[in-house]
Amino acid sequence: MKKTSAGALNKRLKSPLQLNLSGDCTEKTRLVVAFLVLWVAWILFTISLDPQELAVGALISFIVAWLTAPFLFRHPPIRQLRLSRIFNALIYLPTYLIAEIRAHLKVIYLILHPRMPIRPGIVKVPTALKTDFGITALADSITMTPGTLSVDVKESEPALYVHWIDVKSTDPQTTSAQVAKPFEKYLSEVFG
Amino acid sequence: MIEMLAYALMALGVFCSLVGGVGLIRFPDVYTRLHANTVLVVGGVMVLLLATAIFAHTWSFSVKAILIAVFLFITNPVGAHAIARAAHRSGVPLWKESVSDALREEAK
Repeated sequence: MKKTSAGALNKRLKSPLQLNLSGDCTEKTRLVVAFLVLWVAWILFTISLDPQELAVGALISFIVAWLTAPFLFRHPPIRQLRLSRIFNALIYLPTYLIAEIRAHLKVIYLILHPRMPIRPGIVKVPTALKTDFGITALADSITMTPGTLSVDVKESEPALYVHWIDVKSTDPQTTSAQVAKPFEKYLSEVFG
Repeated sequence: MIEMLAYALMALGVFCSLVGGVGLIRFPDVYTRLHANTVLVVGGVMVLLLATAIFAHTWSFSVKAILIAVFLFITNPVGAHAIARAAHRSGVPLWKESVSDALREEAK
């Protein structure tokens, strides 16, 4: 029986596929991507292929895309499509779901406890992620789990300032290990 | 069988909504209340939407319910982050028994 650890599998999956997204996104790319996402969302919401609906949707999608395109992403989310990214993204989903359920139980306990034993505070959480998309994904994951809430980002380090409802330590090393690490180890593979 | 699952999800969603509402009242300041808000939105509304999607008689209804859940999933963390950041920038104080405020120390 052959045993393959996740690490070895990761290494094997690291070879790049054909798609190579180098260079920055131009204004036109952003406009097209925003337009397509909005239009598909419109079609899914109306669930009809009636020409009038499609036309109105296209018009509104174009206006919104044209207004918002300058504020959208400057770089593509990933430079190269690799199997390891897809693999880690797939592991990330159940990991995230379990973290979500555990955080819910914790905060529900804190809410219903008669004496409300909370120790809230803002702590600094350094992160190893470097790309915009990676940091955004981490901050969103932290905010979406109850009990931790990202308040601000320091892009130069990079570090997040996280409001933690049950502060266990204010030491950056410990906070990073407790708050960011469970998400970070997969996100760094997905977006790194 | 699938209906039982939908009922279970509905019960869970209603319970989380109730607890989130209690948390919004009981917690002492803006930042802690946003945690209760997350319980309400993720555990309450999104689970209820999932139950709705299972219960729905037509698939177009299910698609809409799931799409709303996805939009909530995208917008809720952004909104919570924006509220917390704006509150801290405009000087809303933390609860008096808060343990630390790394962001304020950094600004000094």
